[in-house]
Amino acid sequence: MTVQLRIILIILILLSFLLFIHRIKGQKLALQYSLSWLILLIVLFIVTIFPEVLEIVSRTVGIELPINMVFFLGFVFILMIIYNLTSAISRMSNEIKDLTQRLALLEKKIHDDEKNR
Amino acid sequence: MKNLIIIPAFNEQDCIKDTVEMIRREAPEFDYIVINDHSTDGTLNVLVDNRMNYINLPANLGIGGAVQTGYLYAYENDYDTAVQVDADGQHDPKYLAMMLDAMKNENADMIIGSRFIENKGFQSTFARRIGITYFTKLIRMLTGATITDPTSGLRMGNRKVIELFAKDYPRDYPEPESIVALLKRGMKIKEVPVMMRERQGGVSSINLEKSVYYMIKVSMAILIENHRQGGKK
Repeated sequence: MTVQLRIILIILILLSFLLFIHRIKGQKLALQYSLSWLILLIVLFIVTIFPEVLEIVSRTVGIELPINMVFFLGFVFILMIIYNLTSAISRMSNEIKDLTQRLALLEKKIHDDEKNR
Repeated sequence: MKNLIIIPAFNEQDCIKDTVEMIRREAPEFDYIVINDHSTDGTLNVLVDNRMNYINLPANLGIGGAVQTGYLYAYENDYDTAVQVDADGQHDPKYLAMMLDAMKNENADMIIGSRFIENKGFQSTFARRIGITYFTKLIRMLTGATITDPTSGLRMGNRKVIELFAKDYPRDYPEPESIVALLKRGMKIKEVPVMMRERQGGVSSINLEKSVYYMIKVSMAILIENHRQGGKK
């Protein structure tokens, strides 16, 4: 990794980290769903600061260019994040369905009770 | 015996009144409930103005979620049977009494009104019939049961079916998948011949571009349902 690339990466990572923290503080993002992003950023930060770690790991796994290891790691993390989102959406869509049905049935019951009074 | 007709309605302002009046006239021994699936047209006004029996969903749930609301209503109000009838007038309510008799005589858990026993009336389009035949074969391969019209929306279930569907019902394109769910739990499904009309208004929920999604989704759902052991959740 060249020095310029490392500096650019570090700046980008720090900016993203600050943005996430800011959004979480302002309650625009739920920590629950942002945690995986923060961990991704921390891991990327470590390997950018200490490229030696990256070189050792990439050599063991058999990746020639350490920077490719960064891309690979980022890709794996992003897949994990997307999986988490898919499962969160599935759960929420079920919860919304249950709530909608419950609300509609209650409204119907109240309406019927008023009519019978 | 308390019998309920579930009528899911999404943007059916033009035909819902006729459908309900026809039901009152031709199937007086049945109660009915219209489930308004957050229609964006005047469906709700028609329901209110004509003092119909309805449930109004505050968000659009799609056909599966709407029909399930009807099963929940049937479950909570102690109905013995519940039957789905489309709001668009495809299904003739004169068949309902016959379906109820068939359910008693055959001791079945579900009765399906099938277009393909006598092959009379509106037979759907050629492409759709190919799809329907495919599902019939897939279901027969997996469960051994022959359902000639697995996509029919005209279905009557007993208390056991009501209870199951109130708990667990597919969100979209629910018919073939829920048939497999019943068969896997050892329930008995019988079909009776009916004639269906061409829809009198509205559009089918399945257009050309959605049909690929439909085939893949329903096939996957059937295969997954087939490997699920009874009583999930």
